[in-house]
Amino acid sequence: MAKAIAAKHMDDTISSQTYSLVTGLTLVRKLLSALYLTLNVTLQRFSHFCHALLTITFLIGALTTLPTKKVFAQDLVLTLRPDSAQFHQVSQGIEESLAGDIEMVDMVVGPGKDNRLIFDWITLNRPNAIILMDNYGVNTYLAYQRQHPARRYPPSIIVSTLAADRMIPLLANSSAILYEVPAVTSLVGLRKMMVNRPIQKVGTIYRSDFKQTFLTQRKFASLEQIEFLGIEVPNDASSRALKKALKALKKSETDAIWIMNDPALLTKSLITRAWIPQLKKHKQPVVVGIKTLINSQLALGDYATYPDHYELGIQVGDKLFDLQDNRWQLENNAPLQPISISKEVNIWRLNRKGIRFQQSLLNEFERIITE
Amino acid sequence: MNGRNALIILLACLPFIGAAQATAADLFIFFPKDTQKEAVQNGISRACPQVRITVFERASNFWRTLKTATPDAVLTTGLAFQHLKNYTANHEGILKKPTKHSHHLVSFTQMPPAQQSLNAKRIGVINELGRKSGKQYYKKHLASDIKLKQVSKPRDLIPLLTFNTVDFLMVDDRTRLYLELTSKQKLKTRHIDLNIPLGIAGVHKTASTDIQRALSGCLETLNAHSYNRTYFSLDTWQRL
Repeated sequence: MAKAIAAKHMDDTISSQTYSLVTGLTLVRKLLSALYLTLNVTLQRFSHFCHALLTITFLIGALTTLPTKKVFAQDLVLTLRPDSAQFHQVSQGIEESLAGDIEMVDMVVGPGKDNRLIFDWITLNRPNAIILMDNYGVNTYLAYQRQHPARRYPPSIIVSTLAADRMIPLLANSSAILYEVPAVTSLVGLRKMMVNRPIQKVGTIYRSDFKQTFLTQRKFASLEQIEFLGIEVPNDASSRALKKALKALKKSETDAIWIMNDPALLTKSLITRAWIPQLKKHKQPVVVGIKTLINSQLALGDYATYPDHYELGIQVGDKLFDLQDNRWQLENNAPLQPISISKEVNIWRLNRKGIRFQQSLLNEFERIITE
Repeated sequence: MNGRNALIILLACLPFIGAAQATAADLFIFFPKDTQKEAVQNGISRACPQVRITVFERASNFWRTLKTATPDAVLTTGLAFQHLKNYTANHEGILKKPTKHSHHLVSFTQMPPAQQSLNAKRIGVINELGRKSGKQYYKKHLASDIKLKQVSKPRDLIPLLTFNTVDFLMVDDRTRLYLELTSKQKLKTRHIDLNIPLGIAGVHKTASTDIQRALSGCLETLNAHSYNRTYFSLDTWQRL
């Protein structure tokens, strides 16, 4: 009996345990089922939401790939420049001028730089305009155009580069701001400074290749009632030819001499063999476009003018806004004259030549050499 | 000297140290000229030792600095002063022989048209308000579709006309005189109805009487020693 009761108890226990287990499992199953249903509904609704979001995104993407894409995107310009203080100043001027209204990316070029990265960037980002500084900037972009001959090119502006006007024909769709301060700008400043020494007749020497440059300078100088006399020398002028030209210039009795920024006429050899020995015999002020040429050790120039690099950048910025107004089309590629200049003077040499000047105007000069 | 005596001396000096600090005024100067910034700063600092001078060469630097700094006093062009907030004009910079009109349109090649006929013209000005504000101002007061070229120094105005970068310049009296003295090209002039003073010096509305006194003292020194011609191309500062 006891065994029966124990067995029954065991059976009851087992049944009870089984029942609990089954009940528990059923409960879990029901919970899981409910969870599944809930998730299913949620996922379905989420799926509908995702579908809707994808559709909207697609539509926006489609709209933004239409030709009017740039209405929604900010205009972008690229500068290619060597790594030096003066070019950095130009970039700063550009950036200041653009003031965030046009985005600017500034890239350094030169020896050791990987042009492929620059080329890929240009291809990918398609800037609205490109600013090229120095021969390195120009040559880098020239290489890009040669490697991508079939493409349309954005307008480019060559700046802070000697003989920039001669580089315009090398590049497609390019323009320039000249780096040489026009003679008339320098001479008006010199004239203002002189005491009892009118600047009415100015002499210069130019190589045959630069005849047009001389004629342009002469035209502008005449506006300020300055007679501009030029002596032409061969393109491969020797020191002998240059000495002869300087002697002729001395006979012309000019009020000042303006030396053109022609690297071929300002080689070390020509400076030491022709310019310095001959200019020692001239008593007029000598105007140059490179500031080192007025250093006392060189005995060449007395008064130097060169573009203000920061303001040159501002001028580039103005040009970029003009291009933007014209839908990035270059109307004409005639080179522009630089507007803002810096000036330096060697008063030690002016004093030695007996040239009197307005002392009160010395505070307008970036550098004054006194010995 | 022992510590007690040193302390007594220090305490005795304190009122005077406080007094000296109270009269030192911060003066910002922005007056576009061909003169180098350092020359103006050094010259006026020597003339006015009671004032801390900061000179700005460019409009952009001037207006950017004013966003975060509040000088006690400002000396600037009449046009720039009009655009300052919270400053009261105390002195006006004048020419001894003032003309009837303070501003002019000028050109070397053609007679400037009437103010109403400046549509689509290229106008050169000295940058006094910054690029954006200057554009807004001149488009409002001259014509809405002018193309504006702004330069930092008066000497940069002549090349704008010589190289045909602009059709006309808009200049004040002192700059017009400068152009006539510097260039041999004949200037054709038409006056503009903008009654703006050539120069204004003023103090912040919260400035104490000590600050006002310091500024007045400085301007009187400039008047007495003819610094105004050198630094501002003006003849004198007169009290308003």
